[in-house]
Amino acid sequence: MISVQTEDFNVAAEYTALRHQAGDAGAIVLFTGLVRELYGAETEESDGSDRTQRLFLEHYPGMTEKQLEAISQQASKRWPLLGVRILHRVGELYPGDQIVLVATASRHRQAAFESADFIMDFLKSRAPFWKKQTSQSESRWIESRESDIDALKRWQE
Amino acid sequence: MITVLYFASIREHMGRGEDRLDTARDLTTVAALIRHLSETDSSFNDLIQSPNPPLISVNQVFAETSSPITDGDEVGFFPPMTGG
Repeated sequence: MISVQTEDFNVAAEYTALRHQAGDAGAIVLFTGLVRELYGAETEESDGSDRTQRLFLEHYPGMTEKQLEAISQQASKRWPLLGVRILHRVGELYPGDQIVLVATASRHRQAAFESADFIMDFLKSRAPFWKKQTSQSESRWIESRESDIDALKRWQE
Repeated sequence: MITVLYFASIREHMGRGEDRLDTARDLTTVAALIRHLSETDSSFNDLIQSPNPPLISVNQVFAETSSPITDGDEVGFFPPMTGG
């Protein structure tokens, strides 16, 4: 199931729902992504002016859901999954807030671990979300990272 | 009518989130749409000439400049994605 929402989510409730849906699963892997304080130059010498005060998450309504659904289906083709849950928040977020939840259920742990990792890699570079960081000194759109694009390559067969 | 949508840094650069264009202008590919927008809007021209041109979607699916477009289509221009 796919959700894009401004509201926070409850990890325990999501886990319970997936557990019921997934029937005879032997493994559930659940990943959550959180808003960090440091996004840019992550150095010890930082004077603190680049620390995140808030994050604004914009997305492309409609395309976002389609892309997340496509990523979920790709994962289900690749691994024998009994359930997939993707939930992404949008709007204003603050350091420590939960941004994203990906959960996968399977009979065995390897498929659950690998598919959750796969979904996160594709979500970061293929789902139309954009982060704008506001710190004490400025407000700027976070740039995509080469390492996120490279992360997709390891899933190519 | 073609609906053109701009997102994130590109929306801010354009100063608006949306354009609606008459299809009588013979806009049959994304390339033709880009040419038309570049000629009529200097902000869009700057965007296309930049070292990091935008990503493109047609009807909410990733597209290329060679992708065909037709009346009623929705074309999106946006920067590389940074979700998760």
